[in-house]
Amino acid sequence: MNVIDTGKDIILSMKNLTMNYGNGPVLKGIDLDVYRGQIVGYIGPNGAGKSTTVRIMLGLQQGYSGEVRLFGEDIRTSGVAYKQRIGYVPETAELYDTLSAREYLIFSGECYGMDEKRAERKANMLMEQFGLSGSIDARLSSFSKGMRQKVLIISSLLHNPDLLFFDEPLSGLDANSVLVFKEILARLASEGKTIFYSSHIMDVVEKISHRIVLLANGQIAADGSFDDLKEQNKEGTLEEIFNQLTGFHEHAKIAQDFVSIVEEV
Amino acid sequence: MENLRLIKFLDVFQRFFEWLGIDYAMMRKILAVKLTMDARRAPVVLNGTRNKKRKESNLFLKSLWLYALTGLFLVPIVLMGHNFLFQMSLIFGIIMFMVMMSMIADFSSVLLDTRDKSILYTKPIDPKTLQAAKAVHVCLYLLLLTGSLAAPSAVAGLLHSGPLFLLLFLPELVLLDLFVVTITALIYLLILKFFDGERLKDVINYVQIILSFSIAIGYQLLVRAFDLAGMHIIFHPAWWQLFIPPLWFSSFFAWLLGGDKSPQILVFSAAGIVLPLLSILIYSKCSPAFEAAIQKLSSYGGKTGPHSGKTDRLLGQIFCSRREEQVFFHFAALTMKNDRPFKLKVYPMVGFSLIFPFIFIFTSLQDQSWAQLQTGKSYFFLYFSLIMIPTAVSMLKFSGSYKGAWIFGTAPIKHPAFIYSGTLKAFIIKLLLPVYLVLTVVFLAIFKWMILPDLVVIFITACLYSVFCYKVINGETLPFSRSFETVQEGGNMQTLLLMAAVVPLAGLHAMIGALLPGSGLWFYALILLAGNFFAWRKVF
Repeated sequence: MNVIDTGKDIILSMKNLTMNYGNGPVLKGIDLDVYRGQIVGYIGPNGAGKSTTVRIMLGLQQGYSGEVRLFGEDIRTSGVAYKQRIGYVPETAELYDTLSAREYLIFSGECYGMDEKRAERKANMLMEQFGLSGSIDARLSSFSKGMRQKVLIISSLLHNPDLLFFDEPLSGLDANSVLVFKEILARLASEGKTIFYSSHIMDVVEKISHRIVLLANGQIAADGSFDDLKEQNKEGTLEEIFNQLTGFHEHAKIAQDFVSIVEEV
Repeated sequence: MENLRLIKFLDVFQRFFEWLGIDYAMMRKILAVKLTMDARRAPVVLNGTRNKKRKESNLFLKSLWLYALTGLFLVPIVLMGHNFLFQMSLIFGIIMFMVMMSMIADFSSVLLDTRDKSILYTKPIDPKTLQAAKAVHVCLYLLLLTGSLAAPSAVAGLLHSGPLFLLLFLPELVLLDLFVVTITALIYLLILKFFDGERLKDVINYVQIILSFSIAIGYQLLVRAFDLAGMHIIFHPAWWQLFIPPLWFSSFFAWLLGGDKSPQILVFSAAGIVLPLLSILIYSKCSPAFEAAIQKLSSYGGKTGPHSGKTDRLLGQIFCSRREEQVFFHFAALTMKNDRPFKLKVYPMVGFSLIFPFIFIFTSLQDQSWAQLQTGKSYFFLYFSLIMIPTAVSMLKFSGSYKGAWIFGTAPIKHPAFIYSGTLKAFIIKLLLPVYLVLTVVFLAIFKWMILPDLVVIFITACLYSVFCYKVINGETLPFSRSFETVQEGGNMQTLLLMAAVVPLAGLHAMIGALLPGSGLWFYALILLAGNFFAWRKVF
């Protein structure tokens, strides 16, 4: 797969983005332009600053310096209207779980300005597609992890957004659902939607992403299609490239030590 | 979605909200969802009355009658005279305590909902509207709560002291509410500044425990407190009284209704207006910091060192003969210390067993002198601390993290009996014994060393009784393996019968004490000890 040229519209742009929570910088100057229709795999080790970046773009995190533009507007000054065009699946999978799926989805749609009837109709149909129409009136607290994840995915897409932030969206989904979801991603992208995808599962990122951005220590350590990265790093899989770029070589040693401690008793 | 009545009431103010620049339609939707969620959650005061059918109606609204009932107890205080400063301080003090406690116990989830950040703030909704929705949500409940608490005294005051009373009372209540909300929020902020979210959850948990405890005890005490009416309390002003908020609010009554124009009263009255407004000002300055601090709730502090748990280990080694039993003793001791829902259910009961004997002693003091009491048999009231054992023991099978119980099933446990006996031993040593030791010290101070054999007998009886209760109630159910959702509230027949079993035990004790004075009780203690020995072996 190569970068699809659906025009040169820049959907998302960060310029010299830095963030400091007070104990050392988390982001040390990120420059990134994302174009319409791209699926960007946003990867990096724990604590590299991935969630912070996403939180800043969603307007959840203040106090950054640099510039962030979504749909061409500086989010510092543009107000909240830009969020209308964004869909978000948080990594923590938080939702109001005393509500039923139907209630939650309607509420979520209404928050994006949808009409109640329309939100309900769409939620119904989407739940059915995911094979969940039987549980639409059950409380979310009774849902399994995979079912909750499906509800979150539906709620992020209900209002037909142009830009999607998916943080570990596949967690808990079974293999068949993963297959469906990957296909959905590809189709959404070809319809011109931009997808910002963070995950720790390298195989999936490798397969679905048009472009991979690797964040390490608050900086972009690599940026390009999978083929580009493979050329530059002479490694076979994204996992190996990831290990190499983040300077992690001791996995064999750690594993050996670990097992020897296990066998000690 | 229910709760439409509450929302419709709000519609009256639609213009006002829109004038403030708030998206009213959106705020209404958010509130509807929030109220629906609240309806599916039980407030702490109603701990005991969860109905099985789970009919959907806001349990908070149902708990209002309980607050109104509490409010009825305030009426005699209003009526007892014209010492406004004292009477109204008492009333405002009680209202403030109740409001503050239920604020922390029931509305913390409103003030501190971490999910709001990722669910609501990612949507295209003006933050102003979100903040307004939160404020209205809290105020709505607070007004209902204060309203039902204060309504009886308001009516009584109107009849007793005239319309001016009502004119003062209502705005004072609003000021008091504002003060309580901002102070609560500021306390949260302070805790979050210095500690992590886990510590705050602990604080909230303890407040919930104190609330359930004090409501139950409050009814006991208030009924007995009416003698207060005869007392004459004279007010001596002092500078430190400026730190007692109820005094600010009652000063108005002393000034405008009682005609007291001393400078202290005027200063207090001024404080009653200035300080609540000042606290709001401080809060609005801190509001962004508050929103940021809520984020900490879901994060882990990571700074806590390992708890050594050495004392628990040592206790386990003393009281448990086998390794396996020690393991479960230690585990149960940890769970009882850390499991918040468990503590919320059980700690108030432990409090009751501590306080019940004293309540009965105080009552009996009304009919006899202190000297008579000391030589009497009132120490038998100690048996009242035993009647909590069945309910407390029945709680040992529940836990907030009941899902972790799979470990009992997968671990190769040779003698499952040790799971039960270890848990029950932890209950006796960690919860029952401390309470009993406190009671022992106080009772020895009252009744002198004469009753030492009686105290020993009662404690050994308590141990034997616990084993019996555990076997009858819990049987082979694994400890900490069930959800609190499945608790059958309201004390079933079984528990009641077990409670009644305390009476013959006390009777036997009294009979032996009367028939064989001197060494008879020690002999009885030995028999009980042997019984214990036998029971712990056989029952598990």
